[in-house]
Amino acid sequence: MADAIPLVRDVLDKQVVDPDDCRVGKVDSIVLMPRANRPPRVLAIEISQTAAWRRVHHRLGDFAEWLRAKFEPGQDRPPRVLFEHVVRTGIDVHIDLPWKRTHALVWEDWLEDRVIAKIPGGRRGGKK
Amino acid sequence: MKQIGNIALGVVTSIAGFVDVGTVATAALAGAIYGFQLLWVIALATACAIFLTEMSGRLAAVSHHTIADAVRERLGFRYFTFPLIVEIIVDLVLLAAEIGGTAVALHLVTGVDFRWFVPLVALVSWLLLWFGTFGMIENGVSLLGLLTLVFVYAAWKLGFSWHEVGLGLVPSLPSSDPVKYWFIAVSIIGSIYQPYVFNFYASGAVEDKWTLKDLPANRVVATIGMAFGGLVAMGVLVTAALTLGPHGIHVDSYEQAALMLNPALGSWGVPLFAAAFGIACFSTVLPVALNLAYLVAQGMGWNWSENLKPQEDARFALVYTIAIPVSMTIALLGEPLSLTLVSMALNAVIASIVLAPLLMLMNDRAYLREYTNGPIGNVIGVLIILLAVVIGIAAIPLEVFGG
Repeated sequence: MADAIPLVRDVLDKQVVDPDDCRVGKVDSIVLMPRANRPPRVLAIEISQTAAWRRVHHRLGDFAEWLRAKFEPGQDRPPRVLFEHVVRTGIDVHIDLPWKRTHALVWEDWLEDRVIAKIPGGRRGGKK
Repeated sequence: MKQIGNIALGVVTSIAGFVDVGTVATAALAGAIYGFQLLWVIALATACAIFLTEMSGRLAAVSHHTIADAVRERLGFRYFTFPLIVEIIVDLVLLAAEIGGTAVALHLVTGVDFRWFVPLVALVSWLLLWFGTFGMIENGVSLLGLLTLVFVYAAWKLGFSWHEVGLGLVPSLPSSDPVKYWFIAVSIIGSIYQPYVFNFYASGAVEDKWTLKDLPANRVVATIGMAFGGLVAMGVLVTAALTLGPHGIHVDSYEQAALMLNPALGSWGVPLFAAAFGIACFSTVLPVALNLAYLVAQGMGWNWSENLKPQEDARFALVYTIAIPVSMTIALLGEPLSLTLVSMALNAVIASIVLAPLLMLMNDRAYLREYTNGPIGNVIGVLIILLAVVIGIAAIPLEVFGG
């Protein structure tokens, strides 16, 4: 049997890092899939402010979700990375997906295009 | 040879990071009112700062994680929101005090109302962060911090009794106004024990890509850099005790504090005070603003580095871009010295909340491997945290009744 992964100790809240060592986000929640007559399967990790704030208080989670649904550019649900893409856990969670494919940096891209690029010197050296 | 150069640069940077608006204000206040009697508080706080700085650097060199990173990862988001929110508030007030302090220094040399300089200081700070790199901020601006050694020179030139200094280094109870005495003592500790310093130091170690090879340098930089910083703070206290105290000047404003160098340096006194004080404040504006961005970005897991261009870590750059105008507004609305004393008391209040998890992390083998704290380090760590708890509880009542 492969080594067991303590999800709370080695996955939840850890830094998610892509193959190029780009910081993608923290693991804000872990999604389990219930199965009939079998233990639940770990489906995905979620990188989502809604999930993170919901862990502090459900009303904060609702508020974060309202903000996300209203303002988040071009996305209808929080980004999830399927657990099969997790290659290593510990003090960081390494995934085999490049950050662009996680859709976790939509705000980063939106800010870069709409705000940072409009400030002088914000996009020196061209678009990333 | 390169290693020695790096250590020397690190020591200089640590002095600049140590001496800021709060260090000068609280040490001047202490010297003016209580003579040498509060020297022991500076010595105690400096010793604590040495241990905490070394631990922060070791955590970063071994794990490549900062305190904010590791607190979120080990204690969870729910716990992390508490130090995150209190540190954001305290850092914004501190940033306002540092911007205000730099503006006051410009006021001292020009005579123009300091408020005119506040937006200018804020703009220059933002430009340096926006266009600069970590190395430029760490080394370039901090090198200027050496000018703060003028306080040590003034104390030496005025001549002081080593016996009295020795007595001041022994903890003693006040002969009068104990509430004010303990308020100043807590403010001095708040000015040296600033939680932002430790996360900034760890972030700097990650920015500079420290590895296990840098552990000896970390120990030397933390010890000598902080000790020199403490020496400058003692220089301020001794100079204020010898010049302001005997004339009954109790430092109700920075204009009064600026007179402390006149007896030793004559007509150069006020301009040199303004230069040293201004540089001490300005060299702290940048780390505090950066630390706000580090704190939020590390806690949320965003990409962060002052060495990246703003387009490469947009959210990180946006945090300091918002923080600077917010603090600028606070600086425009507040009285600089009061703002400084309030931010030092707030630092004292939150120190235990921010630093207690550090001790736990320093015993976590997942982060520190075989470089965890030994028994002596843990005993000292517990004592430092206990001191921080006592100070945190006492700070607000002392601020109300003694401030």
